[in-house]
Amino acid sequence: MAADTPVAGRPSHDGQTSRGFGRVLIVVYGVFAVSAFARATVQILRDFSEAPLAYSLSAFAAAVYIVATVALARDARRVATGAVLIELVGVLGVGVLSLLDSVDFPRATVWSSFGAGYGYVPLILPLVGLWWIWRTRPRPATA
Amino acid sequence: MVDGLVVALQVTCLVAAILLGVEGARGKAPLWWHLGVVAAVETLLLAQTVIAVVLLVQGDQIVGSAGVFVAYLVGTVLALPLTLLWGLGEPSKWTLVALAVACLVVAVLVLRLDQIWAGF
Repeated sequence: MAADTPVAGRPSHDGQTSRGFGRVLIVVYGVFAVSAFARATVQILRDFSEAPLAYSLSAFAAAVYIVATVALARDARRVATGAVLIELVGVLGVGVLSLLDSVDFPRATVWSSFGAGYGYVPLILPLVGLWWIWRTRPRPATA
Repeated sequence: MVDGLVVALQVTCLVAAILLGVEGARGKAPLWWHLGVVAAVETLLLAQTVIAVVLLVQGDQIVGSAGVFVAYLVGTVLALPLTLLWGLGEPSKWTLVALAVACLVVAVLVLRLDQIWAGF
């Protein structure tokens, strides 16, 4: 049987998050890693004192995306799971807070309003990420 | 910037995204003509970069942030080659889907680039 043949509806890339659909997922993560990093850099260099909390959050979000991208690409499942979970908590938490209290977040971050500025992709991405990590979970040696 | 080029790039990116996306969905592995489609988009992106530099040298001003403009410009030029490099690490239908996604991202970047140039 060829190495890539799906078995019982599951891809055979056992434990590897970087293969198959993961190729696409990591491109999307990479886009967010780069754009969040660029955004945070511009915000912090230009006027950090304007909104220190929001801008720190931007930098934190960038770091989370970078870690998630690298971990998924290197099949580091535990690190990837952690990063994607933090990402999910981040986008939900910041989303709720940005609706409740605009004073704390006077400037936009990737996660503001559940990522509405990015077509809500930041909200969907961690869900897809978790699904993919789960779907590529290692199977027992004997099936 | 140059309205005709921006529209041409948008259309080319969307057509390329649909072509590559459909080919990927049909389970095709990357073929040479797929790479030709990517090369066509990239050629237009490089042309855009040259035109932007020429316009700036001639004295045109970026109304928005120059730093952000340059960042977006670099992003548009690097997005497809990096995705191609990464996607061909495991050539499959997913390579084409990844390239289709990258084309959509480039379309958004080009739009933002034009907006920053014009200052909104």
